[in-house]
Amino acid sequence: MLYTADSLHELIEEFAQLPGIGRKSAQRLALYILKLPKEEVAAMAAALMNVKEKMRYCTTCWNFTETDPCPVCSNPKRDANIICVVEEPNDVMAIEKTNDYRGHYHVLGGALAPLEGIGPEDLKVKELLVRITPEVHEVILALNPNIEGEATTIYLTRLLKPLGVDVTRLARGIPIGGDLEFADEATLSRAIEGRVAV
Amino acid sequence: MHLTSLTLKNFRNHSDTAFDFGEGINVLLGDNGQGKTNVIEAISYLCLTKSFYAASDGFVLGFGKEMFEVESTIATESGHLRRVRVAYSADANEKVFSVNRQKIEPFSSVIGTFPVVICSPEHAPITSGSPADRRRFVDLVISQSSAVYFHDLLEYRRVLRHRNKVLSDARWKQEDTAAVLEPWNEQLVTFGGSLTWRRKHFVEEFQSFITTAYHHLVGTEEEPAIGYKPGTRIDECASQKDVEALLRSELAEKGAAEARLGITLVGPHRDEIPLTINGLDLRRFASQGQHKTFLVALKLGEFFYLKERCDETPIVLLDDVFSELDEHRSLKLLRYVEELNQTFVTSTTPQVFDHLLQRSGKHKLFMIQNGALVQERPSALA
Repeated sequence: MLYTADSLHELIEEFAQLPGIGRKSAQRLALYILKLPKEEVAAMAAALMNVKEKMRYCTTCWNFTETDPCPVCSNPKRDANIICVVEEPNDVMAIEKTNDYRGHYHVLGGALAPLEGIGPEDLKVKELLVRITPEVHEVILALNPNIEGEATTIYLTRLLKPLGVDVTRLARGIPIGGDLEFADEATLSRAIEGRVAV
Repeated sequence: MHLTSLTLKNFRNHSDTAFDFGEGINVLLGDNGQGKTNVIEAISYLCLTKSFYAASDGFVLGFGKEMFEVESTIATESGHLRRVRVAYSADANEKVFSVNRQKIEPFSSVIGTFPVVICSPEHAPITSGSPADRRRFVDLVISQSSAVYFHDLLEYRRVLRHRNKVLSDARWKQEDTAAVLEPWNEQLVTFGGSLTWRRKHFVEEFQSFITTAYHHLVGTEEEPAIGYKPGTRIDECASQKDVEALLRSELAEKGAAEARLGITLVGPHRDEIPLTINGLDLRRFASQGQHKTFLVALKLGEFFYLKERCDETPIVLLDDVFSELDEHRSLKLLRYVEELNQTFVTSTTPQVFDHLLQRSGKHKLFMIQNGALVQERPSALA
């Protein structure tokens, strides 16, 4: 499609590159921006620039942060001797929402996926290993329940176990509040496999 | 289950065709290249979310068109009507599958919901082709009856591709790959063990289904058999755990060879499922007619196997199956098929089906010409 206005066309192209945004949504967003008051657009543009300029990686846990070390790593009320290993920053956000976890994090930046060219050297694995001091007593592997996450779990377990730290992983099974009959068969069969004594 | 109606829009050469099917045998009649098989293919889209022969969605799209749509009302055995729709848009390269207007995701969760048995010339390699063709057949039958098998199969294939990538990359690097390989080994063993164990049980159970169907088709002088020859010697295995242990030790054994060749040498992707008649390998010793009969027997076996295991009785799609059979065998097969469930048959010659139409009002005949339905014969008027 050709637009008469180049600037509008350009904006639509930019939006269309965002994840989960198709061409039609991009068009809708661009037209919405066009109708906004100028101050609001300026505020939005400033917010975009801000996030890019201020955000960086925490050099301890490799989560996004404005301050290094990040608020989690520098919070004295949190237990530095439990480290929860996740794939991406949004996994940290998900676990933080539970308000139950009071330990630290380590963001790997992905999972092992040879087909996509992601090997151990592309993940923050070395950075994790140097954090395992004698005081650290547990590492929780909270990776995604797919084959890439599983491969990463196996790989890390092999490296962590000899360091004398407890390595645990998330349980797999039926979601809370779900009905058994609506669980998919694969989940259900894994849940039966991973049953626990009461 | 059965299909009560079907519409095709921009699907291959059908720009807009609508059918009202009978509950029995639906004969799709027409000359070559008129669009009979396309109807069968459209039904396979509804049941398997894709074409039964490995055509991509883009190929199926009518020439110069932007999107195709297949929609059908499926009556389940519990008496419910399901509005099933598959639409593909070339522009967005997006396919949507929905049941009663609810999007279904992932597509893989559809498999087994609307079970189907398809027999077409495309399936001839099952009896005459490579082990991969036979594995594909076995995989589809088990997958339609077990969601867990299908899940494990998809996971296994991905693990295998990752693992082969590690192995082939390693050939160019000098470093030790054992540590990088291990996470994939463990999963290859888990999913591979599951597939091997389930295939073993499937073949054991499936034997009687083939024997019954084959004997019905040609009498009892010939004994058909399906075997299972996994890449691993599993005879002594008493459980899936045993198979896993065996796979694990074979991986260790073949490590050096794998590193040299850069591919995975252990696992169910190397299984053979030998087919024999009176103990003789079908591939080497069978005649054309025996191949064809064996294929039909496999497909009938598939029908009864799925009927026993799925919530719904499968529908049957027979593409060009009658073309190579003489009239006597055609009629015999037709009589047999009549007892199964709703069936779709393509043919170029109407003669064989004339008796059929007079026998029951459940059967229907559709004349297809140049991607359109030109004549419909309900048996009542024939």
